[in-house]
Amino acid sequence: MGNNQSQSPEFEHEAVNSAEAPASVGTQSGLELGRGLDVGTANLVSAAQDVEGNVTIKIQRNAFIDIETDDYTRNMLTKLNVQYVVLNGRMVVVGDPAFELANIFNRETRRPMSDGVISPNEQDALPIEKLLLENLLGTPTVEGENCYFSIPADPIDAEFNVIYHKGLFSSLLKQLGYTPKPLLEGHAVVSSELAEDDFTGIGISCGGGMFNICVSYKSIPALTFSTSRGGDWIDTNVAQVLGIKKSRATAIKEKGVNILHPRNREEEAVEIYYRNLISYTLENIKRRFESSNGMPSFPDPIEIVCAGGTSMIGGFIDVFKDEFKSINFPIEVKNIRMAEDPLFSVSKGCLVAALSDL
Amino acid sequence: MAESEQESGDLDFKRVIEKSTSEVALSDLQRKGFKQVKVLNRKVIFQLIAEAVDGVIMDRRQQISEEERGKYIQESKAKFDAMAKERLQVQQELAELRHFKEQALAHEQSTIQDKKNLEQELQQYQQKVQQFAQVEEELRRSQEQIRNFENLESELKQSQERVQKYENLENEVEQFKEKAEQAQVVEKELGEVRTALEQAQQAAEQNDNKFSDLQNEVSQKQEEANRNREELLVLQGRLEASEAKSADFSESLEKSRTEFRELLTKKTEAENLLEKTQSDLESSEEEVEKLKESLEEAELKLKEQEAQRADIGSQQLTMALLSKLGENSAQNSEMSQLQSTLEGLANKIAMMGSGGGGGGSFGPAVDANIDMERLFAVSAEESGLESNVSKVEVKESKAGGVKNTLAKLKALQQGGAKDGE
Repeated sequence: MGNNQSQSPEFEHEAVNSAEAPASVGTQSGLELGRGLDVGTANLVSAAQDVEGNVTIKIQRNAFIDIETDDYTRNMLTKLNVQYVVLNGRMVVVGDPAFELANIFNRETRRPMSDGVISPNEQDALPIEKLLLENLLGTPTVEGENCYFSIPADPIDAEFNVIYHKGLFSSLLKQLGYTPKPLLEGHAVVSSELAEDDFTGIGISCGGGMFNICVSYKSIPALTFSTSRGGDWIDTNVAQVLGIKKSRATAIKEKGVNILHPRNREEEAVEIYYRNLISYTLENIKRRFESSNGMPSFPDPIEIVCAGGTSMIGGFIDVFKDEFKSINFPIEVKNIRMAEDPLFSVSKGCLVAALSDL
Repeated sequence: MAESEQESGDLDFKRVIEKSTSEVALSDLQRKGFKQVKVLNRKVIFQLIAEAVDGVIMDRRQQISEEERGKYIQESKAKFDAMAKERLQVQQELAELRHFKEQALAHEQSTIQDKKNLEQELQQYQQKVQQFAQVEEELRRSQEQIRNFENLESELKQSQERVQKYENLENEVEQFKEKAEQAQVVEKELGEVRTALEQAQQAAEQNDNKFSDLQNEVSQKQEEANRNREELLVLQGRLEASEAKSADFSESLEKSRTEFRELLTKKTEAENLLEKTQSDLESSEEEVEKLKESLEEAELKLKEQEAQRADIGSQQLTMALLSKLGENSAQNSEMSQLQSTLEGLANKIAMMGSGGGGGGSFGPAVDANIDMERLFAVSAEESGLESNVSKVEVKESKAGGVKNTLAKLKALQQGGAKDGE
């Protein structure tokens, strides 16, 4: 990766598009041109395709934690393969190890993003995000390589927009040498999961900060919006009722709970808030559909596909179907299902957009 | 006393006989050879014994005294009284028993009657229960029928709703078709507008070139006029000098005046030509303005029908238009105003595209009001980062391929999905 930096973009494109190029359009790095990036509140996920059509995913937890700085710790962290940054004289552990350390020391992780966008409360977020993305994406194969990155849609239940967030990540990707192209999260789910339905249906990205919804007809988004509750909302509330740290609540949630069959008080708390979150989201979706003038009339029943880390808990789709039955949904739905790779779906959708844009 | 009395009664005789006799089975007697036996009646035996006792007593009576006799009589009377009393008591008890027996019998009869009555009542009750069960069964059947009717009503209602829904869907399909037709018409109109706009742009380019030529010509004429004016001034100077010196120069002065008039005429003609050119330019600008309005209308229609493609398509179209207009009319202030108006329109379309509610998902990369690069550069510089992030490999994992998805998307983009591609 990055061994073609001296070549001009024009030259690279010429080589790629010429008749003398290899049958599989690739580069010296072995990767097709075009990257997908899921900028999530909980995780950052990149996707790239090699010349043989294999998709490689890299994932980093979008979190960090600051610890005491000393040489011993610094050496130990490097030996333990733990990523750190010394920022303004403080040592900051980033990614998954930050989450593990937070649970071990019973502390909270710090989060560069909240509610689906860059956090206004974390001044250290920008340089850390840059480092994380640099580590995930690397340098572009050619200068100005397309990188489609996910952005949330404007929320219908909160007063903020995503302009600053979008601009900030565009700038960040530009600095890394990519041509940034934003893609709505829900649309990314449609792009990666609804090919069999001619890209017609409803894609829902169940993220850490938000739920993003996209109603699509033949790959064209007819309606896109988001709701401002996600996995973090569950963690906050579970932590509050159980009197534990949020990171601990996240760990409980991710250790293999089935919300159809909670086994103890902690899992029951998770189940209660999950059910409430799903019900809240469906009600909002229904209300938004009913109030929209631009809703398409689909000739056939459509498919709903759920993706995102928050949808990966056991029993999610069953509870979703349960709650769906209890509301009179304004669109006829033939099936509700999980995405093939729920955690990678958005990044794969961005990758599809990037590859189709070349 | 009672025991001695019993010994003298029938029972004593009976017991004596039973004690002093033995029972032999007839078969045994037959076996012993007895073919006939004489049977003595028990009454006869008792009579013989009583006569024997009476004889003994008669013999003893002659031997006892009058006193003893009285004593016996007294004892016999007492015994008789006791026996009579006892017998009477027994009779009374028997009577009572009989009475009780009658009463019990009557009671039993009454009970039997009551039982019969109860049995009848029970039978009637059972009949009633049976009737009630039948009624209940009928009621249950009725309720079931009611439920069936209710279900049928519900199904009928659902069917009616479905019919209504289908009708609505049909209407919506019709509306959608109409909209699609309208969209096609609008798209066609938009194509025409685009063509007209391109023609107008070409005309504007030509007008610009023409205007530029005319401006050059006018400036040449103005330079010429200026030169002539300077020459005229020189000539006037000479004339004034000559008037003072000699009238001979009057003729040449008149000639110079004539030349001056000709030059003025040429200047007027040049100014008229300039005015005409400016008028032509203004009419071209009005035409461009009209085209701009048509474009805005078309863009609005297009936005309604193709909201999702508005971001990219309209933006690219507008930006292309802006660049062309910018190249061709940079010197004109009204063109600059038009450019700013179109930029505003482009921004509005872009904002619609980036927001929720029917917009497309491809928004502008960077908001014009935020200098992100500067913002981020400051953060990075201030932080003075030391990190091992680049030294630590991020875990990689493989995911399902996107080849088929990509092929389908490309096929769709090219105007229809082709299976297997």
